Amino acid sequence: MAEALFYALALTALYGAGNVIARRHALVAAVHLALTLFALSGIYLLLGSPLLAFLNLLVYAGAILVLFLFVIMLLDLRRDEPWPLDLRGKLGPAAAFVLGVEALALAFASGDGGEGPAYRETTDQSGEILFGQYLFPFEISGLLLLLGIVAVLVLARRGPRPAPPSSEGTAGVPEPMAQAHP
Amino acid sequence: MTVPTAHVYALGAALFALGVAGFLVRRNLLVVFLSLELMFNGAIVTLLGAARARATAEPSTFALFVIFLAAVEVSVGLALVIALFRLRRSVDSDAAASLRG
Repeated sequence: MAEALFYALALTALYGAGNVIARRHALVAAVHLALTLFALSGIYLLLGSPLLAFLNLLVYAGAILVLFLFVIMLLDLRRDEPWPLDLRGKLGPAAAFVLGVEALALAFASGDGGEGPAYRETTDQSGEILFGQYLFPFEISGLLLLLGIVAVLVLARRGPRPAPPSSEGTAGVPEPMAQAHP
Repeated sequence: MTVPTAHVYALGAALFALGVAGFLVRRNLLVVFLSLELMFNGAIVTLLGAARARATAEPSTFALFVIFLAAVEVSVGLALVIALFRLRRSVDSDAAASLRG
């Protein structure tokens, strides 16, 4: 039962992933990424990691994806990328990489072989590892988040305000854009 | 659940590879970032496969760091995309070719 569910969710995730890279419009691609993320949350649950499944929904599908949707709608793209894509000289390297990664994964997996044991971790275990062995990296990642906030604020600043107000209308993007992302 | 670990790794690798393919092929920077998210998720699936194969919670705790990193990467990346859009009125990655030799 759980096996069938795993394969069904895996196929759903791959279908969504394929659509993310093959759909023309960024909005459609982002919604398909949401499909992939929901399927992956189910897979994390089946793999015995309920904490990660929950955080995946909360952070990825909740925060990151909504940020994407905001930006896509904010930019209101008029000029799409040329379609169908110009694939000359790109398809070969991409296919080679895809096949290479798959071969590498199968090579690694053959060492890990066999059926996974029934495994289920608890949030207690994750917490003890996170706040014990990995306490320093955890603090560092907090610092990284802070740096990210500062970097985004610097990037989002409109710079020194252009002196002539007449040039505002041609080059400028409406003011609310500066506050649109955290 | 008794899915072979190899299949979990194969799913992670497939997601990662699809992400790389999208990253290489697409020109729309927003879709390029969506492809990056696919790569992050492929890495997380692989880590969880390893956690299950070794019956330790360590790899899946490490996956939390991947999520932290993804959150920072997305916010900075989207800020860069918006900055580029202000400058060039486009999110095409070919619009940022001023440094091309």
